[in-house]
Amino acid sequence: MERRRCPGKKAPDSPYMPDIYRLRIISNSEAAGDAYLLTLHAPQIARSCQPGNFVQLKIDFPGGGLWRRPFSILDSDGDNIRILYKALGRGTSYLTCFTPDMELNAIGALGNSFSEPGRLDSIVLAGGGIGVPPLYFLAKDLLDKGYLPENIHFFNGAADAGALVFLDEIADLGVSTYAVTEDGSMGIKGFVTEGVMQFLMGVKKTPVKKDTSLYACGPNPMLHVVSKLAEEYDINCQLALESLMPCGFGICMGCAVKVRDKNTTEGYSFRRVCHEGPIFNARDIIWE
Amino acid sequence: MMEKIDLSLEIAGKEFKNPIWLASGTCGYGEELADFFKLDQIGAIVTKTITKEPRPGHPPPRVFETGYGMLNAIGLQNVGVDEFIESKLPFLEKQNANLIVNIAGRSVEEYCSVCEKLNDASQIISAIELNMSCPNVTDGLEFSKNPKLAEELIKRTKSVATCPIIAKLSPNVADISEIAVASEQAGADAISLINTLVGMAVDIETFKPRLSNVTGGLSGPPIKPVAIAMVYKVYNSVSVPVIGIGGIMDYRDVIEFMLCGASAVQIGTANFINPRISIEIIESLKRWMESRDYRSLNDIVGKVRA
Ligand SMILES: Cc1cc2nc3c(=O)[nH]c(=O)nc-3n(C[C@H](O)[C@H](O)[C@H](O)COP(=O)(O)O)c2cc1C
Ligand code: FES
Repeated sequence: MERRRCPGKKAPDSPYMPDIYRLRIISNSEAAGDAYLLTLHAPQIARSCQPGNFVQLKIDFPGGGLWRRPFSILDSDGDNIRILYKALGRGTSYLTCFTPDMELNAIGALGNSFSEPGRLDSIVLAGGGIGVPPLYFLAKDLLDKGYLPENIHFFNGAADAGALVFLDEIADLGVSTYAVTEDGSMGIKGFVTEGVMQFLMGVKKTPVKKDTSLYACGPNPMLHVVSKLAEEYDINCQLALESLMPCGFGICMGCAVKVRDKNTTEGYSFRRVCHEGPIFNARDIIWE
Repeated sequence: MMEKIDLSLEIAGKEFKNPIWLASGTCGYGEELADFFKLDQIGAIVTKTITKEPRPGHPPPRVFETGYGMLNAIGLQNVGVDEFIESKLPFLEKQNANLIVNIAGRSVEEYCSVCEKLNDASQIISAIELNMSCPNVTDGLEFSKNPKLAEELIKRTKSVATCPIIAKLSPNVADISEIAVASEQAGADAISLINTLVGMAVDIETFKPRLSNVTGGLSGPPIKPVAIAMVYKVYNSVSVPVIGIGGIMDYRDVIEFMLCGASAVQIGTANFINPRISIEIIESLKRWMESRDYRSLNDIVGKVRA
């Protein structure tokens, strides 16, 4: 099946190269689930970015912060890109104070993108916590490319109903949307992987044979479970990984992830989440 | 009309167009930074340490941000010298930039065998920099700690290599000038310093070290004063050119290093935050010299009034 081309390669003839930009803030406001929605005027990035790509933002918060911070692109519209983030650390907390017309220094767009699923696949998207953005972008992109909304199943997981990000917006795309909460305050009770597992079990029972493509983004323990599910059900699965990123464009080797590699004597090698990733085939990752 | 400002310098007969170089391990093999600027604009690119055999490097986590500095323990992940010559050198050759190849080994023999292999490409290599100072692998540091070992390493590599040898020293020693003097006496064509300072950070929730290697190397602005003091000390003990490294973020830092004796400098961690920083520094250094009516680096190097 040709479509299983390895994620991690940009189109070789792509004329686009990442660059450093000063991006004007269009808006930066609270969104559902304790999140913030940041809209940036970024024509060059907006026109070329793909689902899974990210930008490295420089947030000069008082009293520290050497590195930029990576933010997954939520979507692009005309000349703008949007970013959905939670104020979890000092950098992101400070980012909430930025107001329209202020500028942010950014490098982008960075990273690779997802490979597309089969035209008729059941497409399962699983986002845990703040893992929603690349999958939301992917869902939009697939719909633009003519994939049918009824084939797309979006599982959005969080600790409780109040922490679910972007649930209404996902539902507005017209795809099947499932809330999964750890405390059961909304939708399926459990981790987001619980919802995915129930879905895969259901697919297995239906008489009509249909391929399934699974895409996931979230904390590493969640992605580990997703990988096991993909292996158990023998389905194509791609993960959007997160990592600390000193640079974000491949020069420091700091964002390593261990992958299977037949070409080395060790049988593994370390790839850069920022450069060969952030999208990886689940079966390539070695979890420890 | 102002006379043209001359930023060029010469080390062991090799000409460098300016003193702003990229530090090993912070610019890969040049491929990624070439997306941001033409590499022939910088003084030299010092490539990521290569070793005789490829090395996978340490498992994650490899990096941690500490205030305005960072810790790293990459573990010398590299493709090995053969693959370097095969797949990295051709690209670097095309960039037309001065190329300095940084190497390391577990023994003097390993260093020498890497030097030998690089001899075939010596017409495109301006110098070899010996990483005698990596704090994150067991093999690196010894050579920088013991003047006898340093001397042996440099004598032996000098006898094999056909291009100039730069000794890159560690700050994690009692007396850095002792090692610098030993390196010079053994024939080193230049001394570069400093590599990272050993550091550690712990997650107080999990009680686990922040790095898989437990300790790592501290780099970035916090180490600059340490680096400058060491450059000053070494400059006053040797007569070969000294290359300053550590925490440089802008042209003012460069001038500070030069005043204390650095003939050239290397930009490290700053590349991560601004991939075009080296180009910006070259421009602002020129403007600063122009504003002061300085014509060449000789007007600055070693001119601190201490
Ligand atoms: C992520 C990282 C990787 C490094 N890798 C190497 C290396 O492979 N070989 C080497 O000689 N120095 C290496 N260094 C040290 C730098 O070349 C430089 O000596 C040090 O970082 C201090 O300069 P800075 O504060 O400007 O970064 C590395 C530094 C960092 C931050
Ligand atoms: S963050 Fe520097 S190589 Fe990935």
